[in-house]
Amino acid sequence: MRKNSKYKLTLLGSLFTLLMGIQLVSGRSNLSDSYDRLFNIVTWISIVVLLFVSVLMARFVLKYREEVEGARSPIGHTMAKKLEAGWTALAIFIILVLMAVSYPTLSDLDDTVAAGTGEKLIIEGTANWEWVFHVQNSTGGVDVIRPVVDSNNVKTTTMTLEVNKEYNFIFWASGSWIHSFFVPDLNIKMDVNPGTNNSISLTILEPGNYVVLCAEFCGAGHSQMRGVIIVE
Amino acid sequence: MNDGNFFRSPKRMLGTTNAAELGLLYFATAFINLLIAGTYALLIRTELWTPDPIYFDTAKDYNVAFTIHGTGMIFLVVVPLGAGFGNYLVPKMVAADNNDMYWPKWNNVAFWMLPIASVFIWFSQAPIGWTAYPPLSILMPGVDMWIVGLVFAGTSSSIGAINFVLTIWKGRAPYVKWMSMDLFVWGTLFTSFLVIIATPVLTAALVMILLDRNFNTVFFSESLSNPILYQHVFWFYSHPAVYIMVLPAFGLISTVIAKFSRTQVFGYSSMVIAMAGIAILSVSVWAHHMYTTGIDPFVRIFFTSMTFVIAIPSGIKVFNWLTTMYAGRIKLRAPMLFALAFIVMFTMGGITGVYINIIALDLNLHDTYWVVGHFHFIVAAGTLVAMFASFYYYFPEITGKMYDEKMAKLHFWFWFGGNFITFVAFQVLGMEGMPRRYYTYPEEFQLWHQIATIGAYLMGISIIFMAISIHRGLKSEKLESLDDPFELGSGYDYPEPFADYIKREHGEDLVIEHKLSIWAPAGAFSLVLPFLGLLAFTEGGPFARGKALESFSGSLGGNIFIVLFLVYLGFFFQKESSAHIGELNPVDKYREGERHWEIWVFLASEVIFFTAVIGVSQAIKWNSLTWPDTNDVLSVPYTAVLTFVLIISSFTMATSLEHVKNGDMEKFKKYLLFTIILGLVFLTGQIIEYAQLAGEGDVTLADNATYPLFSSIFYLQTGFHGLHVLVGVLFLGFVYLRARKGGYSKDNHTYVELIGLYWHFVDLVWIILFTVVYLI
Amino acid sequence: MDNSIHSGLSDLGGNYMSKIEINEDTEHNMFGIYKNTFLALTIMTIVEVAASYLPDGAYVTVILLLLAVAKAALVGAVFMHIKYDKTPWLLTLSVFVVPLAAGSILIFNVWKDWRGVAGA
Repeated sequence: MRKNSKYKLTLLGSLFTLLMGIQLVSGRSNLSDSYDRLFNIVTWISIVVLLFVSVLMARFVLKYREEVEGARSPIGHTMAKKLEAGWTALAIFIILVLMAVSYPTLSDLDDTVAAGTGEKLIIEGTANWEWVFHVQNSTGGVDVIRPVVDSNNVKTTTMTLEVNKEYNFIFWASGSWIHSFFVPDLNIKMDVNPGTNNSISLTILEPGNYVVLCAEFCGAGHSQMRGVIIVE
Repeated sequence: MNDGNFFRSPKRMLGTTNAAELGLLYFATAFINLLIAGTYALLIRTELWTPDPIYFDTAKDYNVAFTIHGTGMIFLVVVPLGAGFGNYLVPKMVAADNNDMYWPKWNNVAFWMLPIASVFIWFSQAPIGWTAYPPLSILMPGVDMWIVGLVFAGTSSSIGAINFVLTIWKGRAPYVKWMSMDLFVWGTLFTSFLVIIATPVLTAALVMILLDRNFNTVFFSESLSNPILYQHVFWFYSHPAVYIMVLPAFGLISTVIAKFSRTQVFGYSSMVIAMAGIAILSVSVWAHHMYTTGIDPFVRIFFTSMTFVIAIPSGIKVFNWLTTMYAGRIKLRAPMLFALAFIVMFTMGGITGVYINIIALDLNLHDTYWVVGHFHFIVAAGTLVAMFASFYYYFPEITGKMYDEKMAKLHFWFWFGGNFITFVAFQVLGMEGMPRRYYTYPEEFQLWHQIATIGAYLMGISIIFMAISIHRGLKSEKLESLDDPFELGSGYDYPEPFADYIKREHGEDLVIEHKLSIWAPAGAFSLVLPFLGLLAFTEGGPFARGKALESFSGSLGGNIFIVLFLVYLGFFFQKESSAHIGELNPVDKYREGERHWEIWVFLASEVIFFTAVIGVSQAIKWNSLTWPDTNDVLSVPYTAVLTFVLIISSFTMATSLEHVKNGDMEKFKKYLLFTIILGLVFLTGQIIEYAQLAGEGDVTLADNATYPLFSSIFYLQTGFHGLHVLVGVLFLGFVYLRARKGGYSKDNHTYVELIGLYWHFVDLVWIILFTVVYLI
Repeated sequence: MDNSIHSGLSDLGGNYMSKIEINEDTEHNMFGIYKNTFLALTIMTIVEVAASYLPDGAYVTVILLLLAVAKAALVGAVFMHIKYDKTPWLLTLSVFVVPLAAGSILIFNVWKDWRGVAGA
């Protein structure tokens, strides 16, 4: 999203270099840290699995093409049984590793939700496909920030937050559409449901401009409801 | 198999009950639908070349395009392709009697519901996404028609599924052993179980949307109830739907890999167990689509764990496919190339799926192009590729000719390359944070969108090569022998046909005969009428919210359709009730000794339907703050009398069946008539009850209703039951007409037994409903 | 065609032709069994209606649910002939228990993950 994108992608397009090139920059928010590490670990596991499958397949195709002469020695019965069990064990092992690396982050979100701490910040998704931010100002009142509409009918709402300060984001759908508050650079997404309000507590650790998008399909204006969080 | 004239004879195409021919019709329909849905895909990709409008003038048109593309590809292309292969292959692979499905006529009905569904869905123009989340789907136009289309598609696959289960379970020749069947048969069996278990729940969810749209119920109302309820019910079907699509593909691909490697499938038993595991687990992973909805933490842990577990059998299958190639003599013809691509693409789909099951990562990747890339790897680059592989593999058998290899390979390389470019670009877009279903987008994403579009066009071009390959193949000379068209050293090796076996063992000639039935497709088409009537009422009539069919005068148009349907029903009853007994019986004589699985399998799907309907109603009730005392708002003694009526009718039905078993035809008819009358009394009683409640004011669906939630679930539950009673009365009336014409005898009363079981089941449901709706 | 298959299959052994009809002894009494079942269902219905007028409480709900299950089981066992089937448990398991279990997973999660005000 930003000029110094966290994803440095080569144009070569081969998956290997593609996945190798991904480097997540940590420290954007109090939630990002463990997520970035997790992403990298899972990516490495994925690369290994994909390489294993592709290399094995390529090797078999090259070695056992019909054009290649020579005797073939098929797997014997006992060996086949062992291998069958081995494959099952390998699949279970991979999954167990993935579970082991992902479970520690499982309840991060719940902890922040349960905490409910921080300055209240109401994120409103409206029926007209726009974000409206209700931010507490210095005098103790609440500023209601509405979007600016550009010539392409893109509605951008901008609010300024303080760095290193905890905010309690409360998501409120004032219309009948389900929206989803999505800040790609903060690894945050939370649905804005009509009828009930989700919330999360979040501290942003790094100044900058963070783009807000809507991630849950909400009808005609879905792609045009945007926002910017300026953190300074 | 195909004598070439089949597609030139409309009468044969309409009326065929031959599974192989119906398989061809499935292929043709799916191919046409593939072209339509594919065109939509290209339009979407064209639109996304730049952030500015290119093809679609408004976001709404664009929203329609991706809705139709998604719905079409899933329900009208991939699922029917599975059914097509099932029709073509399963009867041969299990050496079924008459080389056909268990219910040939129903098979025809199931197929013809598919073109009907296609027309409804193509013309619905609903802008809601294929997931149709409320409140959006409750407020947008065109959704009624879309729902009707989906109900037809769902019913089609349900009938097909029951038919597959019966064919495999009961139609299988005694010498075809379970653990020697082709893996495709297993895949179809498990898929069919999933369809039977899951489809009724989808129907329930869609009908609730329909009622919310048109009849003022509040199941998914954000102010009174819980819109997220829908997401649970919807994904309960729609996650298994992925496995419904992919399980037959697993089976097909296993055969292709083994054949073209000239080896045996490695790890047959673990392949079967893996498919069974996937089928069983797939009904408890659905909520992984809902991690960002603010879902309950316990529910989330349960589903993330189950989703991890379901990845295990998929992994085992990939390793087994690889090992199948070990020490083979691999022939790289087009089917094998597609099969190899399937392994890689399916693995890609699998590992990208792992990310979005990890909740921390899903918070970033959910509802972005990552997800889009993931499921396209599984469905378009996985399942569809498996279908292509098998299509080329069975092409010589189907047509007696060989497709054009060069063009098929071009098809492969363009498709594979296009898949790879597009879907990898999707993954990258997802990582960068591009949300899905965006009509326009921030400019940073443009590069990868353009790469994706180029890939999509490569896929589009590949379909042209496919068409040329098929065309050249059909123009070519007939192959001399179909024993081994790919020179692999072994052919299609089906088990010995049942008729040949009987001939060899017992010296009897069984005549293979596939009857034409014009009444079967007519029955399927006649069902369009009440639904058109419903649409006319809902879209233009007094309950109107949508605008799609505004030109209809709702009441007039609706009434005409309903009257036409009733007229048709009269004709149908008249015709079929005097048909010769041999033509009418749903099951062949030789299967009679067995238990009537046909009705029991159907009842199993009814059980889950009513479990969903009653259970969802109960969930709404438990979570409501105010709930009326039923004694105050409903007349319990009155309904108790109706309950009593239904219990008597069950008794008379059982007695009636006992009389026909004993050969006492007069008493049989008398008690049957009693049952019908009692059914009608119950229905009349219910209509009177509805009329009184609507007038009274407490249990109404009016805008100012006192208990809108209670009323909604009251009408949902009793209404669905009433509908079942109505259908039961219609079938009983039909049986009675036949009985009067001497259609049943001491030895031949299968149909009476089937309708009897259905009737008792409806009674059983009422017993539960009476307690949970009226008494508690 | 039907007849030829019929004779062909009857030679194959008991697999296809095994009878699951009720045996001769019970056949004469079926009308009586139906009548008794009908009476039992009627009595239970009357009890149910009476019980529903008792003041609300957990025990009333439990009684009502038990009665409903008992009635449903009677209809299934006798009228639907599950009791007289060759393998009643297989039938009950595959037709009733498995779909009910699958549906219950759905309902449990719907209930557990309930959001919304659900008033009125």
